[in-house]
Amino acid sequence: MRYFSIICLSLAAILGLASHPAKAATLNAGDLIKASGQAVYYYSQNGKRLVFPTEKTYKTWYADFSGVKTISDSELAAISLGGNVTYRPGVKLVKITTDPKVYAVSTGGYLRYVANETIAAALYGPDWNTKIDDIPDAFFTNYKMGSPINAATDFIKADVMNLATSIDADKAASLPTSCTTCQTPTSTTPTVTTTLPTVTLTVSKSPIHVNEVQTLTATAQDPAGIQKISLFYNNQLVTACVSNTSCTGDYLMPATIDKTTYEAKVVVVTNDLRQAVKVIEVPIESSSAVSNEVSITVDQSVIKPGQSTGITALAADTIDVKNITIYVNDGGVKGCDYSGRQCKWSQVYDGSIGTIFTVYAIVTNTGGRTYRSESKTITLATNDVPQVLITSGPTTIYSGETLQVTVNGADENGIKWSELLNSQHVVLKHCDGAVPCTLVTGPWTQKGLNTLYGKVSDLLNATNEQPFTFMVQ
Amino acid sequence: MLRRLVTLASTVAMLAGMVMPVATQAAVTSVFNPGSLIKGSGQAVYYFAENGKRYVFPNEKTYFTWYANFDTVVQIPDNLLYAIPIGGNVTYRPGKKMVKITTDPKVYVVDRGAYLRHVTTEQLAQTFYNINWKNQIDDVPDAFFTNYKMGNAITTATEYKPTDVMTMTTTISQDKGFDDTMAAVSIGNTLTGFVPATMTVKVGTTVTWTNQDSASHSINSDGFQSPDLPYNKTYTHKFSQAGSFQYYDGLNRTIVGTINVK
Repeated sequence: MRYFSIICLSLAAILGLASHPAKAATLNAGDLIKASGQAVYYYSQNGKRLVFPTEKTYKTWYADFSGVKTISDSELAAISLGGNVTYRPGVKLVKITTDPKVYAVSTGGYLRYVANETIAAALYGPDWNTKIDDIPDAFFTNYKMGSPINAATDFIKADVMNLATSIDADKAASLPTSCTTCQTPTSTTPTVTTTLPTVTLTVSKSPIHVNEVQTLTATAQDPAGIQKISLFYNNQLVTACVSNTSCTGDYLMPATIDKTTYEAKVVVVTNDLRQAVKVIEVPIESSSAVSNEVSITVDQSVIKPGQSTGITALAADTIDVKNITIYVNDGGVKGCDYSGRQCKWSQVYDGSIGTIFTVYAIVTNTGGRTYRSESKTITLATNDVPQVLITSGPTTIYSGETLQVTVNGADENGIKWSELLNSQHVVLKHCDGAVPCTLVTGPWTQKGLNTLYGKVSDLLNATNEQPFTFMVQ
Repeated sequence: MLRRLVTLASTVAMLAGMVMPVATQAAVTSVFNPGSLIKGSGQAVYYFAENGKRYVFPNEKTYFTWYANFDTVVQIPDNLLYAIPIGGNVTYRPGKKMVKITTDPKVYVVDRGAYLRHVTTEQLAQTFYNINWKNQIDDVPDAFFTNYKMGNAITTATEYKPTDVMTMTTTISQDKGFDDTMAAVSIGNTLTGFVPATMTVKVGTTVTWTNQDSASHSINSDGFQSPDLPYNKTYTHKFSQAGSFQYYDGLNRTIVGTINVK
């Protein structure tokens, strides 16, 4: 009934009969306006009013409501709606309620996916996770999707903020050219007078290991008919098939390999002697050999069924990292394609008591060579080992300086003791109970990377140990 | 002043949260098709379209212009829902109702493709929606007005027939102009796998896979194989014959999907 009366109230002015011109002379582009209702609008330079979909959106642009001009309802009605205001670029990180991805707001209402926590911290400080606003699903469509931020340098926050001097300026601005990962449109191929046969080439294994058999399969099609298909591997002829549209051949990989990729190649010759070549580079994975340039740490190596724990893979700075992939029981679970040295993964592990999960990481460098970490295990047991947190002030000190290190433990059974150990696992300090175990170490004179260990036992005597690495300059 | 905008914000929040008044919980599934209504553990219901994206119903009124009830909504695991990108908002079903905004007295009919057309006289409104036309007007909140485009004003009754418009637009996909020979699958992370994992399409449908994960994945099957797909890259395959086609992820072979072609 209340709804009906609202309709009746507006009937007097309904159907466009009220076409009073706005007193545009009293308004300037950039003014904030309202009528008798509650909503505040931005009066845009195109003569339209823009809606603030949420109060949070308003607060990214204005500190308060001073300067809002009140006009009459009929004047407001005569100004048509021009769309919604989006977040002021650079001020906040945003996400939607039904997707955990975090985005930075860039110029012109573009959202740019922040690829990892390190970048978020570099751009928005260590407390970046307090600077994320949830955008309701229904307003997500007001934003456009930009390229992801894969490195902190992909997004110059100060530039983006300086560009957004007003809502109009932001709406007018186009996407800045700082998007390094954007794809340039592929140019159309020039018309060629002689068409080539259609060729496909597949390999059974990529990447491939030593002593494995590689199967090459090629197909070719052409109106003139196929005279010959030749398959090459590592520049050696594997097989050749005459008057056939498909061809298959095997190649046994040697036990020792001195290069990072093998080349698979097919050469197709048609009956009228036109020739097509197709090549696939197959990376070699020396999975048997463990590289000490890739380390893997498991937060808790013994957990209860249904509990989660984290895995961290770290590539040494001697590797030109292209990708880090973490494997659990030989299945890839997390790949990190961005150019970082660290890849993290956390999941729930379920199964019966005694189940063991094997985890390792493989790092691929920009040349396609792979490096495998040692394998670690996650075991399901009735009692999980305690979590070990080992921290210091700085992680880099100068030669001759001391370093204060603290070991903390956490476990639902309670902490019995915690210890700080040196690189030879000699106990430097032992603390009984759940108190933080702090020791000032050093002075350190040996330059380079140094490792200390934190060790914690719960009241059921399950222990866990974690390394801590710092640099002496 | 502060109180005023707070009120606005809370109204908007309420409108943006779809109400799902169904007590009976159906089984959670990862099987759904283009045109399915999907939801997670929360209340909001989405329309899953041919482009592999989910479309938001900005309020309950919008939903009820398309559907009489929530009987066909399927619940999917939350992490699968997260893997499906939002495509935009659903707009009113053309022909069903007339709309206006609170701060402008103009009344509009909705035409196909989310076009609003100004109804210039009361006689026209009465021709379209009978003597009770005043009950056929919904207020669209200001913030959702931007989801509509402005069409030509209507000056004669022959320009618009609500029943014809409704017959022509029976699905949200038709309203949005999606090609029903297209379908799309999102590649989430290794926990979500392919979303939807099982999908049924018609013969002749082209399926597009889009990698939504930061890691590279690939599509591998007997008849088709994609290269490594980095974030946001796509691979398409046309299914010209009926059958059940299984495929797996090159990063992790235990992640599998099925396309049923009928």
